[in-house]
Amino acid sequence: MKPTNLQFKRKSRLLAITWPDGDFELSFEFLRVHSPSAEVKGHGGIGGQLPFGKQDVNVEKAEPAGNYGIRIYFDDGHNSGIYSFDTLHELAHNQEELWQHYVEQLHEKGLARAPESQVVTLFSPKGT
Amino acid sequence: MSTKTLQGVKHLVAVASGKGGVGKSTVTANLAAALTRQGKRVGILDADIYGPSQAMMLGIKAGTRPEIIGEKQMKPLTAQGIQMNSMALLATDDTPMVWRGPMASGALQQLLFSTVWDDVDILLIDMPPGTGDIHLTLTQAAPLDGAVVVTTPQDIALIDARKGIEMFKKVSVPILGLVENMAYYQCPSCGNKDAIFGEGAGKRLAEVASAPLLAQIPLNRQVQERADQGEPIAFDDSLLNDVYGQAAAQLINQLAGEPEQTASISFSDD
Repeated sequence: MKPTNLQFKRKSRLLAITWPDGDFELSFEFLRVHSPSAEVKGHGGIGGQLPFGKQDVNVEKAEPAGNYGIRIYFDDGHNSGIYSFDTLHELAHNQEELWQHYVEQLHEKGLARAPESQVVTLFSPKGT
Repeated sequence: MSTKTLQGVKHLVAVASGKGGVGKSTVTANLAAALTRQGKRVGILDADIYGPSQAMMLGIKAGTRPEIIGEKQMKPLTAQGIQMNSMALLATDDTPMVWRGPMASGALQQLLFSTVWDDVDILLIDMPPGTGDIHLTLTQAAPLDGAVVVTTPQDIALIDARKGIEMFKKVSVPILGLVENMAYYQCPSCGNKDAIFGEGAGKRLAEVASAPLLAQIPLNRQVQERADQGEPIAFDDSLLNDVYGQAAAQLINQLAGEPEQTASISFSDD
């Protein structure tokens, strides 16, 4: 399925996507931390890094990639992820779950969404 | 790598096969000839960096080079009304391109974007066999209208053709049609048709791809002779010309009915 319209809202840092089956909004931060690039995902399950401190990330430009997706150039220099329309559709439909998982992972690793800040974990919410 | 539009080209069509040796380049040259006969302005880009053959098939003399425009652009050669550019025009016949993937991809992009095509209706891209670097580059960098997949009837060719079809599906390039090459042999003395490599394969593959079977092309000595002489057989009135003529007409129809819906990308400050 292909979207008909992709609007990058720079001020609210949201990507509004119009699909034949509905409209969705994804935050730039959400897109950035779920980049399908090897840098984030790793190669064949090996490597990959959890991005953090991307709360204020913005998008400089975006270009079509063939007939099947877009490449997004973020203002932190990251541009190696090609977001296929299938990937975007999946991200949009599983947004809440994925976001929850990301925040939990950040917490586990003592990382923060805000750039250049440190989290001092005084206690773990899981009680361990 | 971003997708650029290709100046001077209306429709961009890849001619591909999974397996090598199925006659993809011969089909490309003949399809180009048939399209030209139907009044279309046709170009061929030979993307087979490692084994370019279009120059020979269109009768371009060895050693002919494309004319250079300015510093970075090339004028395509015109042979029998067909515009073309190929790696073969930039190297000699006996120079192998011993290159790794990124070099080959770079060469393809230069051929594609640095050639000044002159108002071409349909640019056919003669792809190398397989699903490798060149295919990735092309599907990511070029605004393809679709692909024509060539196969022969043997199972071993069909398996590879299926992979090719899946590759195009993955990157949302529509399959415009299938061509079954070497579909049968017709005895020149008695006219008896013999499906040497088996029957019905093209039809089955067309069903898998949900695309029309554009042509079933017989094995014919003249096809090979004329390709080697640099005069594709589809330029003449013959039994074969009819087959290629019908394929060309169907392809034109397919392109007319394929308005590429592109997602529009915009930026706003809310």
